[in-house]
Amino acid sequence: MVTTDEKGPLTAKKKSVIIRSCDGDEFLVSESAAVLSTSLKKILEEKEDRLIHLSDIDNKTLAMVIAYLSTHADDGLSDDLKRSFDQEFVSGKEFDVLKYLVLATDTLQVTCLCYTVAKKMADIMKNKLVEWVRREFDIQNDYTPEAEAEIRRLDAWAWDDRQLEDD
Amino acid sequence: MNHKTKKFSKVADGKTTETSLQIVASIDDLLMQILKRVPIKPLIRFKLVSKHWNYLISSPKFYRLRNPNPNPAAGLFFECSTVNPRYKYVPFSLNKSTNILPFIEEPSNIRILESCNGLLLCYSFDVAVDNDGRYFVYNPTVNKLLKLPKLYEGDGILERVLGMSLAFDPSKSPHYKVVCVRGLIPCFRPFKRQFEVYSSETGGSWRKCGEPFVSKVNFQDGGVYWNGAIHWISHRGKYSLYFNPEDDEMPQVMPKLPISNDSSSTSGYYFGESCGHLHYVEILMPLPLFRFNVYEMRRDYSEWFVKYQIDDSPVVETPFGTSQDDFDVIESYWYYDLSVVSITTLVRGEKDENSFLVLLFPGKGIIRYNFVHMTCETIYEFENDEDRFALKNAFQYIESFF
Repeated sequence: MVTTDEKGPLTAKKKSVIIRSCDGDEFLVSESAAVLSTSLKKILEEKEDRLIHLSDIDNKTLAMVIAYLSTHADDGLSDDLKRSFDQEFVSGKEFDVLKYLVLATDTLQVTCLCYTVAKKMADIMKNKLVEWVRREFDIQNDYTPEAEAEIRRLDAWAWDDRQLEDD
Repeated sequence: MNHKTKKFSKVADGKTTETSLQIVASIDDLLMQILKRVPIKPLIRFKLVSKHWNYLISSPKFYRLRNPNPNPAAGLFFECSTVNPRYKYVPFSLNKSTNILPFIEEPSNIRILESCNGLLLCYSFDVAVDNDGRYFVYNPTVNKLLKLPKLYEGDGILERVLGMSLAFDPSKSPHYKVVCVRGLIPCFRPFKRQFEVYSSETGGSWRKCGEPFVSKVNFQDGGVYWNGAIHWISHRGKYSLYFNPEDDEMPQVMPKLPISNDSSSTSGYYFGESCGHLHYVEILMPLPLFRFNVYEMRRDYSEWFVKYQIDDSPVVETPFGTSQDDFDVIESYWYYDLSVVSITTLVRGEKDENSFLVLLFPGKGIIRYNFVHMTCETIYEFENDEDRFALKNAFQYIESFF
C-alpha cells in the first residue's frame, strides 16, 4: 500500500521518499517533511536509497508522525495554525497511543512532537495512582512493603490530598 | 506491538543486556522528558513506582533537566515581628497565590536562619525542644523537616556557635552539608575559630573540619553559599572569608570590595547569591535619591566588579514615592529602628533584563526593581497597621524536592 501524505498527490518536482513501517505499510512522504525528523535526515544524507525501513514503528503510529511532519513542512500554514494543530493532535488520544508516539518521536528524533506528547502524557499521569502508572508502563513494584511505607512516610505531604484516578 | 511497551519496562526490570544498554539510556532520557512535565506532588508520589523511577527522579541530572535555569527563586519568606503568622510568603509575581506554601508548625518557635537553593536552615526557640538538637533543615516545597544532630560539647574545647550555614546544590548532589563555626576556648585574643561539618550523605555526627583559624569576620552576619564554598563578609567588606566544606583546606580571604571607606555614605547593604552569581549591593546616601551599586565576584576570585550601577534615579519613581513629605515619617522609622528602604534580595535572570532587586519600604510595601528598564513593580502592599512595620528579614523560596 502506498499512501500519499495529507497534502494530496505529489507533484513531480517535489522529491519524496518512501517510509516503511514494521508491519510493512509504505508511506510516500515529501523530503521536506521527512527531514524534519533528525534521524530520517541523517539516513537521507548518508544513502541514496529512497526507501527507509523502520523496524520498530508500527503503521498506525507512523501514519500519525507523518501527518505531523507533513503539516509542519507546509510553508503555507502559519505558526499559530501549526501550534493549534499540535494541541489538536494530542488531545483525546489514549495513553497507550501516546506511549507509542513518544517512543516513535524519540527514535525518529522529532523533538517538538516528542515534547508535545510528553506534556500530554504528564498531564494524564498527574492525577493517576502509582498502581496505574506501573500498569501503563509495565513496571513491577520492586519495593518491599517496609521500603514502600518508609517512602510514603518521608514524603507524607504528597499523599494527603484528593482522589486519584485508577483508570 | 508488545515489543514497544517492553522498551519502557526494560528500564524498570533492571535487566540490561549489553545490546540494549543504549536503548535503556535513551529510554531513561525519554522518561525524564515526560516526568519533568509532571507537577511536583505527583512527581514525588511516582518515586514509589519502582526503585529505578525513584533513582531517576532523585538524580541531579533530572534536577538540572527540570530546572535548567539554576535555582530561580519564586518568592520570599518574610520574617514577621508578629507571632502569628511568623512568616509571610511574598511571591515575586503578582499572579501567583500568596498562600501556596505549607509552613511548619511543629516544633513551634522556629526561626529561619538561612535559605540555600531550596532548603532552609532553622533554629527552634521552643523550650520543649531539648537542647541537643535545636537546629533543623527544612524543605518548604515538600514540607520536610530534619533535625540536625547534637553539636559536640565535650571537654570544653569548643565554645558557642558563631555561625551556621548550609551548603546545598541540587544540580550537583541531592545531599547537603551544614557548616558550623565555633569559637574555641580560651577566649582571649586572637580569638580562634573552628569549622565543624555535618553531611546529610553520611549522616551521623558533626566532625571537625580543618585546623583552628583566626578571623575577624562576624559570622553572625550569615554565610552565603556560592561556587561550592560558604562566604562571609562583614564590617562593610573589610573582613571576609570563604570555606569549601568539600576539602579540608584553610579558609581563604576574598579580594577587597571597591567601596568607599566613608561609612556615612552608605545606608545599607545586601550580600547574597542568585543563579550562580555572588552579589554585594550597597545603598548610597543621601536619600531620597535612589542610588546603589551592585558588585559581583568573579568565579576565580580575582575581583569584585561593578555589575549594575544605579545613579540618581529618584525614588519618586517608585509606586510609593519618597517625596520630601514622606520624609516626615522617617522619624517614625527611626523609632521602629528601620531604614527607609532595605534590599531584601537580588534575583538574577538568564538575561539582564530579567534580573531584579527586591526592595522593602517599611510602612509602605515591597517592590521589585528592574535594572535594565529601571522600572518598579509593587509586589506587596501592606494592608493594615499591624503588618506595616512587621516585616523584617527575608529568605528566598526556591522550589526543590530533595
